[in-house]
Amino acid sequence: MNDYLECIEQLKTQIENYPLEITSGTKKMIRDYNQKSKTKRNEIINNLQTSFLSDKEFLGNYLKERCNQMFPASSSENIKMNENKLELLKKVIQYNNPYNDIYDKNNYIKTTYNIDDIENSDLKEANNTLLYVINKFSKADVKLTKEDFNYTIYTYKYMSILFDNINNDNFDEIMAKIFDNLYWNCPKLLTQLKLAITNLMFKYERNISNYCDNRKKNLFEQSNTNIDNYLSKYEECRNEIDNLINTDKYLIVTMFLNNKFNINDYLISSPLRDSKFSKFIKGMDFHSLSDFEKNKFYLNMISLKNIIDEVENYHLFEKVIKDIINRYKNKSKSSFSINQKNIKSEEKNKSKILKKYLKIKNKKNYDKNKLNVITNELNSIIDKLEIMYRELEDSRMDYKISEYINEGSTIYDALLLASSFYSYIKSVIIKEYSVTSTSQIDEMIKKLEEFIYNPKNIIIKKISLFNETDLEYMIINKCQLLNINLKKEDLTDNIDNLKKDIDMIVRIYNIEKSGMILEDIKYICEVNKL
Amino acid sequence: MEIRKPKLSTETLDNLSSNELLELYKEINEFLLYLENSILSLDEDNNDE
Repeated sequence: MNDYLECIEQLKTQIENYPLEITSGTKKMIRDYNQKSKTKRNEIINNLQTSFLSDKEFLGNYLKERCNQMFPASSSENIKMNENKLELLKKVIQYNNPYNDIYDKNNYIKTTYNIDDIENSDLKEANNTLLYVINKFSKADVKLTKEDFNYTIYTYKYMSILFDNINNDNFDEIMAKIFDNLYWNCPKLLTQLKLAITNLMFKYERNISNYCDNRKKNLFEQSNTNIDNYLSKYEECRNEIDNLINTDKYLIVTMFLNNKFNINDYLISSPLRDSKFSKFIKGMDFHSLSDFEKNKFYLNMISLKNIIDEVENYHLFEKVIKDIINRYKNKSKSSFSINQKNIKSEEKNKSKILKKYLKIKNKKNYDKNKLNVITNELNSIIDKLEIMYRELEDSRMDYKISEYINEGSTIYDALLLASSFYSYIKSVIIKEYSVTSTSQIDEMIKKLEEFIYNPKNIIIKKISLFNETDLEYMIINKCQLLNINLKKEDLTDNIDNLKKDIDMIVRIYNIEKSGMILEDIKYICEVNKL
Repeated sequence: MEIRKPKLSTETLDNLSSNELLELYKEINEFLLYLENSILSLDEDNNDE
């Protein structure tokens, strides 16, 4: 290489010193000589350009070839396999949740809850939900027919058409037509269908319960877990995925290639990197630490990152926790059973009126006025039932809180209970977080569930639900013990910067752990820019 | 100009570290830029007349 660089320097010198002028001779001779020399010099330069361009191309290809050889393979298949396993374990958790009912275990509530949410849904989606429900019941050995939907006149009419055309190619058009026909007589058709399904869930409770038991057994078999180890297996799997993702060489290189981070900031010689380490080490330089101390420092930073994440999530769901506390303090256990009784008696009333309606309707020359009066009576009782079911759901949560929450409960207990009931958690999110779209709500519920079952949590399982705790103060104290430099304002005013700094240190640790060499990443990034 | 440029071959490059390769690439690039800027214009002098 040195020969080559020396050659470049020599060529430069020769070009600089190339004789372009003569001092003696006529003006014309001097000018002609000058022009000829320039032409000759330019020719030489052109030849050099061709030659060095060819070298550049050759070297560029060689660089890329070496880069390709260095580029790490992804362990995405292994990650994907573990992610599939985790999805299965999530189902195991759902079916073994100590708080929720069979309807939440089976997602019946979640499936039907949004069927009448016109703002976030459409008729096609509602029909898909109905088909899904029919299929879900069939799994529980319940073959639903149109007769099961005689909850109201309109639910019967609508579902009759649906069952008759289930395999029709023009299913969507047919259903849209019948919906339009019925809509002006019954604008709340979808809500009535929701109530009809709710009633079917109660009617076939035993079948659903048996299905749940079988499903639970199958899930244990499929995931190779049992009642004693399914949670620890879930935690193991989640830690494994985190570890695989954090130390995946391909993902690490891609982060830098996509300019998410600048590799130059991560090199050992980087002043920025040094400053991040010095920020947290009290009165010492990171480089002067022994390997053991360095490793301990990294592990402490990982703990700090986990605690900060946990506290942030705690604050995010603080409103849910407060709602549970308020409901606990207002204890109204009895209203649930009263609401249940009231609904039962109101459902009986509705059935009686419906029978009366059908009796008149089936007569040859029925009295239209009489029928209208009964129709209005029927509509108002269904409206009343809709409100009553909503109140039942609300009181069900109060009942569950009084059953499961006590003075010894932790934040974890409260959040787990809250997340166990879809209708409850959805209503709290809408009320407290001003989120209205179903996808955003479901995203938030998913985040809550991930937080609750995060194996890295330390605080929420230990802190009492009813004691006011200054979590930031606890973190500072913990850092003092670990010899980590951290001020309270870092956790409040500068939290975003603090997180970025900790993330950078943890990322450096993960890169080291992965065996990926920083200089190699730099090389790959540089070649990628060529 | 009598200077003989060393030939770049795979064998030569195999012995270089990644950093050296990148440095070499940078040097060639800079030299090409230098060559580009070193080309002299012939028209200017003719116009002087």
